Amino acid sequence: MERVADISKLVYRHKQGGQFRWVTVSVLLLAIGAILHLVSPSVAGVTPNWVIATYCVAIQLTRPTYKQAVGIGLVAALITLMTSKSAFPYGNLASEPIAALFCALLVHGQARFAFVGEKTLAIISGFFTTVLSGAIFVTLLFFIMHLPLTVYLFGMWPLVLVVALCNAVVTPLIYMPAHHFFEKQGFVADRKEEETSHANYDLKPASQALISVEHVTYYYGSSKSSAIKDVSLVVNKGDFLVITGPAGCGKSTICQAMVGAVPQFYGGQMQGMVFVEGQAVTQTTIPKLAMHVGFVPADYDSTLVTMTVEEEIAFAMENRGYDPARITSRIDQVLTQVGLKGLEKRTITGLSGGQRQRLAIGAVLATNPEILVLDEPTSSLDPAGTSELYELVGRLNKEEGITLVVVDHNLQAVLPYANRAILVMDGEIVKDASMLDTLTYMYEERLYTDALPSLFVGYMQLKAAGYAGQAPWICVADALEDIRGEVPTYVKG
Amino acid sequence: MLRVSDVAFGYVPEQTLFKDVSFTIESGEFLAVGGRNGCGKTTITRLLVGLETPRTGRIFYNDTDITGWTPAKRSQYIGYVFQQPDRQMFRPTVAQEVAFGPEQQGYSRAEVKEITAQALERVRLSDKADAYPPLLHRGEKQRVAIASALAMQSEILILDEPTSGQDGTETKELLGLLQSLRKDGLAIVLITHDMEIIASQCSRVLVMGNQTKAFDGSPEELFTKRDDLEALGLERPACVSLSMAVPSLGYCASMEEFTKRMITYKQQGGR
Repeated sequence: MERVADISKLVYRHKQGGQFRWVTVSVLLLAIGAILHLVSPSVAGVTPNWVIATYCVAIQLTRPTYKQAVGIGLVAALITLMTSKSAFPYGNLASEPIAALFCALLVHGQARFAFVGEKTLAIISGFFTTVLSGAIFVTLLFFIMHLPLTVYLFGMWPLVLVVALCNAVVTPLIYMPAHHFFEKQGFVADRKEEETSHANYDLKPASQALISVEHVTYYYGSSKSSAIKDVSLVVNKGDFLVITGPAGCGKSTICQAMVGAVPQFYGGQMQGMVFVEGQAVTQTTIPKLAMHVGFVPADYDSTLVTMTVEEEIAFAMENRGYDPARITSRIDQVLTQVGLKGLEKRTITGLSGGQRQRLAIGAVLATNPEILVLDEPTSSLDPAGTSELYELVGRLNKEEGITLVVVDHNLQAVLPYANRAILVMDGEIVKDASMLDTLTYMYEERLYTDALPSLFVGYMQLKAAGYAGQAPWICVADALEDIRGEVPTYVKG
Repeated sequence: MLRVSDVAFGYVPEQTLFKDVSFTIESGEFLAVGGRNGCGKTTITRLLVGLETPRTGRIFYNDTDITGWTPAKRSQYIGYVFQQPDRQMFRPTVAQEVAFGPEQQGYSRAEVKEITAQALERVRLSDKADAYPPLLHRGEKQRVAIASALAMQSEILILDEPTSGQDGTETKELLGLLQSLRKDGLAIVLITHDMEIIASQCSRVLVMGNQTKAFDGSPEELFTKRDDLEALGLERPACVSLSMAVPSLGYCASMEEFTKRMITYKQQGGR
């Protein structure tokens, strides 16, 4: 184990994309292959083998490990099996995984032959993978069906070669647009990019807080400018922390760094380190972090996947392997917590926006995380929904001791609940203090004043003129009390 | 300019969402539409643009009955900015998106270019003419939708909750733009939940509630005279509550106005 003297100099590089991206890309391409397989016209009994062509493309695009390549081949075999017109389709179960493995060999071997370009590789892999797959398939057929040798040699083999030639043409034809498309979506990793491993470092946080963000500078993907610069902060147990700042200031990036999505999902380069309960985020995985930190994104609808309310809570727990009896009892607790009791059987589409968001929070709470991170939770809620939401999370914070980190620019609504506020401008933390101190700082330094609650601004102006009391106005009732006390002619009623 | 007369509507035959709704919209007005969730705020504006047909009642534009007109035909007069403006954009660049309307009206290529450039200039998006609409911020997308309406020479602009989820700066910019369009004679119809915006920006409020039009008048009247605000899903804005607590201070439409008057009031010895 190597010790790190200065954590701010520690660099971590990661390719964009989750670890399952190869599945997404291959499944998508194989689906296209299956459709083409079904509709492709056959000329004199010959048609390209679209399924082989698409998995060749998938393997070349995602560069999977050999084990993953066999998996892709197996899925391809099952697809062919179900759509095959052959007398003995089971041969595919052997031919496709072996051919896919061979294709992966070709793709990984490309590194040694630098002169082989992407297009040439597609032609070569398209041809030879098809020859190998066809050879295995017809040979099995020959032995099992006891076919005459002449049929095998002069009927089947030429057909295999002709189909392979067809595939040598169609594989690059699929590869080019697919590469273009997936590259645009950020799905194709740059092969020159180096990945860093922190497995050999002995990383210890400087603070024993729940979350400790230490000198983090972060560049998204291949971006040249940093999204956040030398950000340091701690989240203590029981905190209700608000992170605010103008659009595009990096507040969401800080939030993503606390759940490990930065850098492990978005890729790019991170300097410094984030520790969650003492664990360095680069030495663990996003699913493991999720056991400690629950995250609800601004687009909470995208986290809801099931049909009904109770299934959604169950889904979150099933994924972590809880036993069914525990899940049933927990659904009850969680739905009570988020105020959705009685709606267990309701379909998710029948819920209002605010209810769907509370469900998303419930699904995260189901596995008992100590910290809850909400990214712009009120951006699609109306004022009533906003105050309900903050009442709920305020209660979770006060009564159940859940630590909260909220990114928001609606400061009036969160004001009564938060104990700390951080102002972020241009990727840097400019103020980290109590809620009222941060508001005062923003007001006095004229920073991001558009976000200041109007009541607070009114109080500050009147106070400056000498006409307001000492306690800032958090809500209208405070202000009324203050004003009524100040106005001598007013009869208190 | 636009007159709605005794309109009733419901999405399913057994249920009436609202009935006996009559009101007018004049040019240069800044009309807020408020009310509880599900009271028909958005629906009433969908009737105006012809996305829904009223069960009974008529809609007139300058005394022409337009109840049977298609949304496409009405779009010459009425522009609509959806709550999610992404859902109304389908062309590859901002300029082409804005050009769609005038192209359909049969303008020549040069005219379309001129109209588009002017519309983008008015919403201050000229530098984004070649941008891909889905990659813009929500505030920018809204301005593209507004430019599309301007390119059609719409006289009424309807916006469905344009400020929800936006930060203070974006909201301020949008309201500034709407006020300048209103000065040019457009009628602005704003569906909103934001009481501070209703009080400080709008010349008139239409509140939907109790299955009909529950209120139609000035924000001052709404916030100072009505005692059923909560039942209607509304709330008195802080500035109004505070100004009402100080006798003889008068109605304050915004917090700035309140603090300014309060300071003067105090300087004059509380009188």
